[in-house]
Amino acid sequence: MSSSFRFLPTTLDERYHHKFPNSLWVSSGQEVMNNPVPCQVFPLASGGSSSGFCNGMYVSAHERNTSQTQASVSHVSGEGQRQECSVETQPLTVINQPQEQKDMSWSSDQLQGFFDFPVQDPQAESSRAMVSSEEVHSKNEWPDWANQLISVDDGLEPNWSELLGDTNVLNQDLKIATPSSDRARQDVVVVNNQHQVNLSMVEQFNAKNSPACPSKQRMRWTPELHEAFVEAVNQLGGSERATPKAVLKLINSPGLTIYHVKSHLQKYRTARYKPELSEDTEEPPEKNLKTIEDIKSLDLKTSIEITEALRLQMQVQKQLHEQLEIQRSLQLQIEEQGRYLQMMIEKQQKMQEKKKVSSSSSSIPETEPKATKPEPSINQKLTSMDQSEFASGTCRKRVRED
Amino acid sequence: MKFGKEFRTHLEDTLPEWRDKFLCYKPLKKLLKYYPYSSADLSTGDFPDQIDLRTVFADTTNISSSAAGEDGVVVPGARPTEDLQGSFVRILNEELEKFNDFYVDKEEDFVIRLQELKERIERVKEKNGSNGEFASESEFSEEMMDIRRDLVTIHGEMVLLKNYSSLNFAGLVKILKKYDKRTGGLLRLPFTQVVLHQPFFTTEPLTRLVRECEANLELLFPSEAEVVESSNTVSTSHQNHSPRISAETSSTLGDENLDIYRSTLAAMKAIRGLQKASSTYNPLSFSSLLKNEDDETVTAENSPNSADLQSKDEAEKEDTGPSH
Repeated sequence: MSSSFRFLPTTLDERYHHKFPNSLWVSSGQEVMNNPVPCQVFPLASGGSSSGFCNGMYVSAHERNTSQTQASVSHVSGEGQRQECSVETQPLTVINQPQEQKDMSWSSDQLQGFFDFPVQDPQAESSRAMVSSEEVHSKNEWPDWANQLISVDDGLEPNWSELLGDTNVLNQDLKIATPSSDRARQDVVVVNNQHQVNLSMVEQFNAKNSPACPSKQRMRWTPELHEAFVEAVNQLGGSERATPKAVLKLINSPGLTIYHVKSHLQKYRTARYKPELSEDTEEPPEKNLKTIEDIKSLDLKTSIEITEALRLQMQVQKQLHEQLEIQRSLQLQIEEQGRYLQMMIEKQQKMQEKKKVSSSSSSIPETEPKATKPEPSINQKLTSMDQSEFASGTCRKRVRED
Repeated sequence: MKFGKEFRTHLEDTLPEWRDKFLCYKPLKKLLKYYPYSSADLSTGDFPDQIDLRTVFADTTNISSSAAGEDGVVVPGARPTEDLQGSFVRILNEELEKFNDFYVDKEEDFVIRLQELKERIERVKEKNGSNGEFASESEFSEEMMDIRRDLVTIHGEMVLLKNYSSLNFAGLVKILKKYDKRTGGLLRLPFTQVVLHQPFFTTEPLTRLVRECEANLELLFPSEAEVVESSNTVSTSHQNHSPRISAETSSTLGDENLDIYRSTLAAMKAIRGLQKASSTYNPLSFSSLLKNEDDETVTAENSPNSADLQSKDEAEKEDTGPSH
């Protein structure tokens, strides 16, 4: 199994917050949803190894701010991501708070169970660490990290280092909750960041097919890439004789690492070995039966049956495929609609807020009822939808009352 | 409940190796069930009620005791301050990783295998064309039969992988909806946006492979019911026999194909199930969008009576219990 992560959605969250010694905040860009749930940590650990890991990847906060509990930092791990370009543009900060490592221990253990990825190549990683803390707003407790690459503190979560290879930017929106020393603040979910669910961040994950960067990246083999691979292998004298290193050189694709090539080569060899076996022997059980009997009519009958069976199977499969295509387009459509409506609601809210802000206090009560007026048209659509998707509780209530 | 049931049924019928790669829908639902308990003591920073997630996932039958609000079975490794949202999102992320890994791995396999098949076809063509090495026609047809079988197999697996992707997506959306409904959170939309861009859901490369496979099959084995060596009499006879052939399918298809065939049928069933009307009206559900195409799925619930629906919908929303 290809062991690289395509993205590692991790953001450290309050769990690791100030008390957490080394909060490693990593979020891969694709975890847009982290935003609304700020301080969520999504630890993605790849199997373990430790430290040394990404120098680039982690930024350890100089200051450990206990109040920073809420900071969710999005981090782009340098590990290559497929979306290299997005990495550059996206601010991701990884914060490693060098103090209480003990807090992290559980996660390492726990995470280890989840992933058994090979150790990452530290060098690869360091090249990609990008850290930026644009999203760290609020108190800027983290001013220093913003653009710093800080080496990982070994004590910290060793596993974290493995993690994230992915540079997904995403969490631009991760808001760092206003730091408060109050531990209970974890329930401060910066829900209002909802708006910021950064669709644009999501859009940055494109190029899934472009060769990824360093090893942690989940590699997606396209037919073209595979063809290049096969050619390289053939040039080197066949799958048995070709070595990963040589193949890697021949293919010469920027994001490809030797780990990718190794695992792919292994698969390739297995895939070739089987057909070669059958070609040589040409004796699957049914055929054996046939040769024993060796009656032409029987041959014919069997092959007819087989053909028919295959045809039937193929028919069913094609049907399923068609259904799946339809279903997929529906799913996309539904989500698109949901998104659109959500945006409209948010617009509404913004308008309402503007009105409130601009109007005097005495007129505020008036604006509320007025604000409800534009809603009915949306409401009609929305009433039949799942209203829990609405952006705010009040809005939701209003809709219900209609 | 409908989706959960469809999902579970499908899991039972699908390829055995794939079963644990699907979304852990049921455990997540159970997790939601205990929502009030799990976030109970947020303010005190103490979570005696924390659910033992491992228990939830490992054995879904004995949740009730651990989640009854008794002593803290803290989520293993979870920070004490982690609330439901945190753990929920964490689990979902892990699930996403699982999906992505599996999907990308399989995709790679398919790319390799399809390429191999194409090369085999080339080789066989050459052999045949040069009149060289095939000892007899039957060897040729055997080889072709093999290739055909392999093509059908790989096609079947690819389509099942698409189904895997689709079903997991549907499951995610459903569970997110439940989450939002239960907790009043706003997780669904943003999370879904992320999911849409995950490797396991971006199935375009796979679709291309499927099309390529179909094209190859079409080319090599024309879709009329002709056997490679058939004559006219044969073709008419086996048309008469087609009902019988389907009964014999199991003996001729071979184990691997049989598994695929069965899973394919199960997948079809699951999709049909999803398309049927659910208990909540939703103008954007499959059933509503498809109701013009397939009258069977139109039910009383789907009839466009907005007043009824609205009240019904509201009634549904009042219900905060874990009805699903």
